[in-house]
Amino acid sequence: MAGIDLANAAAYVASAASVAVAIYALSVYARKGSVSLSPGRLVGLSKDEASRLKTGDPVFLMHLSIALGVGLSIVYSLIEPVVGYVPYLRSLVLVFTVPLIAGLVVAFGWRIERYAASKRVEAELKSPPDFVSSSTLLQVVLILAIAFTTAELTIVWFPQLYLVGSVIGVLRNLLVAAYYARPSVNLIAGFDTPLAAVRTPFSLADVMSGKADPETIRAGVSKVSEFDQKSRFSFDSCVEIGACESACPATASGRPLSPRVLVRQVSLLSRKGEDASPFESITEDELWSCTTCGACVASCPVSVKHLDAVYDLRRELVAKGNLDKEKSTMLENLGQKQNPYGFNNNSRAAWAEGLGVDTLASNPKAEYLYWVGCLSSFDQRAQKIAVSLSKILKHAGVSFAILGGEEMCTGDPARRIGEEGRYQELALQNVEKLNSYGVKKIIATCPHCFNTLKNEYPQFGGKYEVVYHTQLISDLIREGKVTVPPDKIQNISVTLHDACYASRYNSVFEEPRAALNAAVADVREMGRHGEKTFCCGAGGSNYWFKVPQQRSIAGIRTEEAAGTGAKAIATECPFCMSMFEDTTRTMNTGMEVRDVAELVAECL
Amino acid sequence: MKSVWVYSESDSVSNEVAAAAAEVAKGAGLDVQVIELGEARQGVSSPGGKLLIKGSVRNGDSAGAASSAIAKAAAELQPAAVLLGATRTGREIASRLAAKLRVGCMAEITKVATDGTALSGERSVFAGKVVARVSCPLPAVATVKVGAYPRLTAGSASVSEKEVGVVTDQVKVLSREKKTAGAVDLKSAKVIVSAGRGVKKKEDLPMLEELAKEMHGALGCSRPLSSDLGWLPEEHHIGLTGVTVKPDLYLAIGISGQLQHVAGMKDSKVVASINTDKDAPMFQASDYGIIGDLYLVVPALRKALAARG
Repeated sequence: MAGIDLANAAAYVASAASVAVAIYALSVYARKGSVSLSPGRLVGLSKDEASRLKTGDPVFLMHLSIALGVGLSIVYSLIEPVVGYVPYLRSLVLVFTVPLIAGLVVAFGWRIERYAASKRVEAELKSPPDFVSSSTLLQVVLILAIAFTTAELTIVWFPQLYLVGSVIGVLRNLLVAAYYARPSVNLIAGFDTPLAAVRTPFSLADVMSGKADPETIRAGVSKVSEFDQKSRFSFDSCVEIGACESACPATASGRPLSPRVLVRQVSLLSRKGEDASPFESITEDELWSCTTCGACVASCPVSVKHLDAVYDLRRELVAKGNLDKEKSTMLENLGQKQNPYGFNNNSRAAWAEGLGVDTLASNPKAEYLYWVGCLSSFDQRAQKIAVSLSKILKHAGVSFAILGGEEMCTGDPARRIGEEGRYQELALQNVEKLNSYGVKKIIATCPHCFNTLKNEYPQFGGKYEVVYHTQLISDLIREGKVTVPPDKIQNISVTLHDACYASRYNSVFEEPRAALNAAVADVREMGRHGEKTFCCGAGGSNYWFKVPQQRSIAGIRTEEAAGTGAKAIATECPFCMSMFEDTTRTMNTGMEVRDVAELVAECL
Repeated sequence: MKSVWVYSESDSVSNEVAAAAAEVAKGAGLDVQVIELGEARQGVSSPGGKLLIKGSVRNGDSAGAASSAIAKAAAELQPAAVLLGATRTGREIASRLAAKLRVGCMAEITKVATDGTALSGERSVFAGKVVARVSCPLPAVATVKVGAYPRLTAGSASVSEKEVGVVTDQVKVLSREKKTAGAVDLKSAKVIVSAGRGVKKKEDLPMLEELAKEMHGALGCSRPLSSDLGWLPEEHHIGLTGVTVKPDLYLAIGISGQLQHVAGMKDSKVVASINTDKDAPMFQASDYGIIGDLYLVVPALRKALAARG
């Protein structure tokens, strides 16, 4: 008996020691990444995770099962000697193990599937052998960690196997210390960084005022060492979970990009040395393939910021002038015509002729500025969105005006393509114009304009209350200022395609549904909706250039929409509309494409 | 007698510039000399004589070599003006030549004339919205807008020769390769017939291809046909993500007129559209429109073209 007691005691000491090692690893990485592990951050993280719990996202639930499973098994291994003395404690632990084991088993299955998928992606991308073996190692470690944790929680049910459980626990804790301390720290550091936050590499205003020396400015990244420290820490935190890859529209369409492979490439390059060029392993097409839809960042359980790499490396390509004709023409148009299409900017308000829409110049007291955006100004189809919104606003008696020929592109296409200078040039000019009119409130019908005006312009001195048209429309309906008759649209079933920059970037997804439900009798939902929406393929300036692909992103989405049996795709973004106007016709789906505003305006 | 010199590496453009030179020379007491580098070309005509510049240079050589050779001859023979075709190479030769001779240079002019002391002309600026009248004291160099003058088709001309010896150029032409056969040249087509999603199946495209041929034009298409359906190769794709064109006549057949497409052809001189949907945005971008089924309109159009011969 003494022998067994001694062995049990030794196992306990080993368990406790391995937990200490894992905690020490956490503190080491926290110091390395200058991350605070304060109770405040941890409470914040718990709240954030709890709010994500509500979304019911399966990848998140699996991630949570793993995290809580590890936590529970560690706590249990530490309190094991006293468990017998506290009534019901053991039963309580056993109750908790059940859902966690279920979650872990599902996670194990998903991991095997992701493993196979990741190898297919690597084969398509022709990833070099050292990359493949490194990725395999990380994924095997992840599978082992899940298997060990599952085994440990199962063994809680069989006290006679305590020794075996302890050995497994020690191994798992060492894996956690070696592989998962950094991602845990990264999660604590980055869980609340908004998706819309884009690094601003320099201030054009400072350059113009002489405060910054243009010689020292670096927009992009040509060496691994030039990445922002936070970005690098996040790239190095990737443990090949693959949630990004399974959410990425570029990967799904067979483009030469996987967000997982992208950040891991950067991470592996830094082992070669601080001066290693990211372009040693990352190709230009890989970077242009990204639609900046943000699905990768939003789905990453450990808060890796893939988009940081995309922006910094695109900026480098722009700085080097590695742009094809389509991209350079777009940028040239922005510089010369203040819109990305090269139209005469004075003709922006052609859609409003005869509609009695004021300009700010004629009515500077208007409550709202309606920021029309370039596509709705120049595209004959998208102009109907602007016409519809004007109709709704006039019906509701909302005081509004447009800028007309004084409106310019917000600069979003320039920033997404990596031309930070031109972006800031447009941003500064627009802010100056808006401030000179004393604009307080802005309505936008383009989610890219909306995001830029709302989240980015404050940094350039433009602070406004920015609402999305679907938000305002749903408010007006709720307040009874827009009344939709009871014989609303009956003849057509509709499914809503959420725009990434409205839903994922800015959490606007309930409002368009409220507006749609008011106008349309039969509204259906696609599997991927709300914050989990799937890109239309136009984001990240992809509207303006071509990338090699096996099938179109818009085509994949159109199939999904058609799968609901709906006869129309409701959009809330002129770019999504443009993409689906093409695919619905080429795929002979017979589906119509209508903006939410058009559907509501139709009922008035 | 002082001369107006003409040079273009392209036979047809040389004949256009020669026509311009003939007008300049007329009444100013000048004579026209069409420059040939290395050898006289059959298809190149002159209203006056030809000057064959001999040396280590050939027609069609790089702008560096051609400009050196012409500059050497001009330094000695003192022409009143040198007119070049405003082609890509012609523009480069003109600027290099003007710098070498230290004389003024005017780009892409039409209505070229001289009063004996200066060369003058018109050039369109601000995307054709404004016509600028320009002039430059003689001797002068200028490029003449391509397509502004009818080609000269005179017969043989007397050839005088000038030896310039070895001319050097830092840039060596390594090889010249023809574009792959069958490649469409939408950029230079004067007439473009463009197909959109209104075309029901790939098998119907030859009908439009024939129409394009009958109109001496090229066949283009909107994005869905090339990128999504793959019915035509990408080089036919006109639009934001494809080729940008500005032909004299753009005939849009069954094209809805999304901005994607319109942005690639908005600078066409005359736009005509055929579409069944009277609300098709393409009509907004058109000068002429036919609301109708392309399967009825196109055959009728072809018949009318055939009747005209």
